[in-house]
Amino acid sequence: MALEINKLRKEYSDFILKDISLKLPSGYIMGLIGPNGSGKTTLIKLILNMTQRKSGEIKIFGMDNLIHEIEIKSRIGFVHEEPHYYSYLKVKEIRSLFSRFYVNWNDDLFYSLCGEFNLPLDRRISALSRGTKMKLSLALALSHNADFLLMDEPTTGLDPVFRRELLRKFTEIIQNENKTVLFSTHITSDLERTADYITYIQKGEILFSCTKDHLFETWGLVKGENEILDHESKKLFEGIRKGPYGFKALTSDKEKLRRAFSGKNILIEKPSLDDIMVLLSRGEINA
Amino acid sequence: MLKHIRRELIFNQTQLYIFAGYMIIFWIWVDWQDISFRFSLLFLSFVLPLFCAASIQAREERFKAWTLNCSLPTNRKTLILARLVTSWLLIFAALVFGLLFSALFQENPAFLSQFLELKSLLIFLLLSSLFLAFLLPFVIRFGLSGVIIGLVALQILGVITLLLTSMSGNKENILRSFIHSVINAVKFLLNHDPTPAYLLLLLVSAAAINAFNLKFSQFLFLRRDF
Repeated sequence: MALEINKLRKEYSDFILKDISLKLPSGYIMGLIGPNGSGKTTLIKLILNMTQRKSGEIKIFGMDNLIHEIEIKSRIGFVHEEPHYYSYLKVKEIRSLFSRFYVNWNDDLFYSLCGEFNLPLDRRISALSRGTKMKLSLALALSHNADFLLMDEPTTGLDPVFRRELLRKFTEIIQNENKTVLFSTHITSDLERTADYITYIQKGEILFSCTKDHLFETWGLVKGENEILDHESKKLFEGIRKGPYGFKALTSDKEKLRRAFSGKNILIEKPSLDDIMVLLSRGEINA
Repeated sequence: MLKHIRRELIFNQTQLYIFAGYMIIFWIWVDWQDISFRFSLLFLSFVLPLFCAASIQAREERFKAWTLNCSLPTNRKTLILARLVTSWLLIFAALVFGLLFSALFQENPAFLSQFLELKSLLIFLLLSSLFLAFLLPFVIRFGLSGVIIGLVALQILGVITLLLTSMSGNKENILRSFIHSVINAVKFLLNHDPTPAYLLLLLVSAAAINAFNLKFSQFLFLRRDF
């Protein structure tokens, strides 16, 4: 198991990450989705011990992330949503700094990635665009042969061409080696293309964490007329949105719903991750 | 540890250039204006730790570099140890530079010989350790805004002291007494005979203060969220 989180809790004055648990096997890509302020970044920071937890346990490659901090971090490639480098340093100076911290640093790989991403080695960080900084961050994360890539919103702010390129790179990494990727994003179409597992987090709670296939097999987007909804039937949905021409709702068990609504005029479709996000975060939940 | 010191120096290279320029101006001023040895020693004991603790920390806050540093394969205790070791390297580098500068340009030969006395160096070590032990935990806990608020508070304290002094017709007040106590303590240190026991006490005190500084700073840094 690449990542195992048990009853992890973090308390801020205005936000609580509520005893969350999840598992990610080695060699898979997990996408972490949820609305702004739901706890995605907090979770990633807790994994890297950038934030102190209140209680719970995080194991990476079977090791506790606090006890084996250095060993674990040397096997993690981290990409932050807003890469923080000293702006007056050059790309090659950043390489020089990073390379000494990683035993498995591969200079050839770094320079090859720089070529692939068109990274200017002699340019200062201040002269790089956000997308180029993100590329640098990714090149640094990949150049020490990390077993686990941890990325916080890596595709935000990137142009569609590079975003697609980046997602292709993720898939390539997974296919070629036994590496694991956990990345948070708002762009759900990215996950539909690449992720094996989807974890949805909202208000500090994990609402679901499962394989993408399982999600699309069991969850359904239900459409029907408002009249067929009553107090009891509403309980079968994870989220409902009513409109003037009918309702749109989300179910986590298509078959159960089909049986409950047999004989009634409803339409069950495969939901997109966008539908799931919108209905879970903005819909009338478990009404 | 070397890679950490290197990281500190590379990350703070601009600050180091500014600091080097400042040190050159300071030593030119000391040597040309014939500034007293005691003033120079006290001034350096305060300014060098202030630079190391506050200035570097300010850069780190500006660039949010702690996030980057904490993602590297290291732990927070090592980061603080590296900060302390780098601070002392810079303090000694600045001192050595100043003394070499004085050896070349200082017209008063007593200045250099006084500075190079073991007692003077140990007092410098003790005073710098004290300031650093105050400043490093302070900036780790309160950050750059804390340093600015602290400096403003000291200014206000100075104004209040002056006001109280003038209002009370130069009579003693708490702040004045405190400042006098500090001055007397420094005078005592400087005037004391350099017996071996005294020198050893200075050295042990400086070491103990640094050990406390390290542990306390690490404790504070471990509690920070990034």
